[in-house]
Amino acid sequence: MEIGLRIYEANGAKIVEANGDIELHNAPRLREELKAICEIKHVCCVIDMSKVPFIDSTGVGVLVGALKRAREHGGTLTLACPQPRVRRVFEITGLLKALPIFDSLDEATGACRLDYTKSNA
Amino acid sequence: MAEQNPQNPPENNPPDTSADRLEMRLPASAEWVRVVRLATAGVASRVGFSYDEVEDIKLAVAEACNNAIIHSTTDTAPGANTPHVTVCWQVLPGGVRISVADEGRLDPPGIVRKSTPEADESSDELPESGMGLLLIESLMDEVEHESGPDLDTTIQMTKYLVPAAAPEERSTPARPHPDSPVSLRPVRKKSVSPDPTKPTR
Repeated sequence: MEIGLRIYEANGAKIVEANGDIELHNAPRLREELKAICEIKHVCCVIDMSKVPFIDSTGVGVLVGALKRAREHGGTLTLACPQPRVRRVFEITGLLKALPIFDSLDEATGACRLDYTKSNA
Repeated sequence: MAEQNPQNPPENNPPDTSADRLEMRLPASAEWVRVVRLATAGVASRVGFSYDEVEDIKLAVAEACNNAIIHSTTDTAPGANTPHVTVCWQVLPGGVRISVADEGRLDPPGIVRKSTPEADESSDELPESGMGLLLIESLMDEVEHESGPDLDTTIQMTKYLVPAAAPEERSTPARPHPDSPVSLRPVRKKSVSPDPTKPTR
């Protein structure tokens, strides 16, 4: 099943709203979409996870890869509003504290911009 | 056909499903993993697992299927028949045992990440792959994998029921998983303790 993606800009950040399961089948498409965004120099990218009920390890890998790519290009990436089951996957894989995760879109956007300001000071 | 005894109608003797076995053979293609997840949810709900346990089992089975599909497509020679993955659900008296078998070859164990990464500010240390087996082993009670002589690999996962709290101890009623099938006949719940005399594969 394909994942729905809505990409828009708000408060200086690129918001990627994902809708649906993130799994092996559709992870490549998400990877390509995030690659294009995270290769923008100094991008502030926020992934809205509020409509993602399921993620597998492939999906987690895509998010981690996007985070690395954003940082390589002087940008930042944060995750907003993961559902409890998704949060559990991050916890089991040891990434809950390593990934920049926030409970609201505003917090995620704010942290993204703050991180960008600090790393480009 | 046996005569029905009006003194003891069939609904008083529901079928014993404690040893039922289900099997599905599907093309080794990622688009079918969702179907396996749905089937797993149905089986796990029927066995009596809680909502969260059903979700855990679904994820573990999905990871095993992903593993099987990846190794099926990378290890099959060009021009060979479409590889398939076989999933088998074995209902146990106190849980469920699920096996996922492919027709390819599992990568050497050294490639599979088994330990959790350190929480680290440096994103260079964060893993992008290899977390599947970690998830399976964390979510299921027993996990075994073996390779056969034809380079096929089977991952076998077992989850046991945990004794539920007595009704008066529960603060809220247990909620059914949304994917659980509507039961047409009452299902008799068996004792949840696993049989310690049965060897595990």
